[in-house]
Amino acid sequence: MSFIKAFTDLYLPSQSDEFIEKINTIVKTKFYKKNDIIINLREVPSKFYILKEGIVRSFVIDSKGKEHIKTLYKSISLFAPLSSLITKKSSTFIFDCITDCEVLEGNFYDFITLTKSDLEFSNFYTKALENVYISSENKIHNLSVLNATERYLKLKKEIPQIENMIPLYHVASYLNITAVQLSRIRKKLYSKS
Amino acid sequence: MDFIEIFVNQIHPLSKEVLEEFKSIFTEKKYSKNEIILATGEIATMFYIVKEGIARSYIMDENGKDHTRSLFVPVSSTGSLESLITKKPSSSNYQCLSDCVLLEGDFFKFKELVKNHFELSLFYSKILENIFLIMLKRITELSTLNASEIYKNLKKEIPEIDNLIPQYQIASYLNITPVQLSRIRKELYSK
Repeated sequence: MSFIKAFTDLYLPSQSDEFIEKINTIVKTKFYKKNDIIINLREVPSKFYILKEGIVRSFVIDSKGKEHIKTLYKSISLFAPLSSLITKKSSTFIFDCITDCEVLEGNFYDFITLTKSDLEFSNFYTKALENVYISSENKIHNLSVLNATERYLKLKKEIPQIENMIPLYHVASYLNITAVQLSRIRKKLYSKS
Repeated sequence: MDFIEIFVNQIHPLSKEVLEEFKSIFTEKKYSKNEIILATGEIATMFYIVKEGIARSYIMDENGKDHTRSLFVPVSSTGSLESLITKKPSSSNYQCLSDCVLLEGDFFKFKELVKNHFELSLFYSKILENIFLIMLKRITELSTLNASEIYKNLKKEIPEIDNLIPQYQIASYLNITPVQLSRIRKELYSK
């Protein structure tokens, strides 16, 4: 329960005990192994997830069969195929585990039903959406303003061990550059020391 | 139906009483081409609904080069939502790229109304969901498409874009140089 409190505190500190208790009743703990798929393509999703331990990635596969990583999630974060949950269409992203993971899984539509009658839940949802907005803004900023080296350094700051966890061609994909370009960037950065 | 009603109905209908209160937080404002709506470093207090014209958000880097982040056409909302939410200075500039008519809304008054009217809380969630879907489209574009494909999408969304803003600003939006954009256009239109 204290983990749920730590999570809700990230968005809206000092929620009532009843609120924490209600969230506790709509989520359940699940364990996944490295490489397990949590949400697959063409599934119509219904769940949201709170990541307690491990690293999860979301990615798309383009028309040429190439994987592009969209987001990397580490503890404590909320992840979900939000656009599919909102539009009730099948997921265009795949979410899988880069490491063994522990998550709290909840039904999104049960949560939305609660937002319609409970102001505390409605406010919490609004705050979560505001946070999603801010991280999306940051993403657009990184992709449209920063160059590849700057994006690489930012990634290393957020997840220092990333190169030990996923192959370099995946890191390149996340940065939207080729493996060759990434190799050049790393060579330049690490030959200075 | 007036413009705000059109905006509201595409998101989440409101009761007559609440709609009137919502309308009361707006003032119509005219901006000329190139006028700055909100500058980097300012703390935002207003949000805007674009009624006429086209606006953009952009950042100036340390070399004095400007990078266009997003474009806004009617009927979209704009303004530094990040600054409004966090109450910190805006990290972007917001500017009209053509003469514009904007409805300026007081965000603080809006949040007060949200506290007092539950249906506005649901309305606000819906707006945030819509904004998220738009942003996700842009993020997916930037991380999976090349510049030529993003340019084609842009032309589909805003067909007159080449007449509305200079080529170097379109190039900035695509995160390429004007020379690269020129090559892309040559290739597309010589077919």
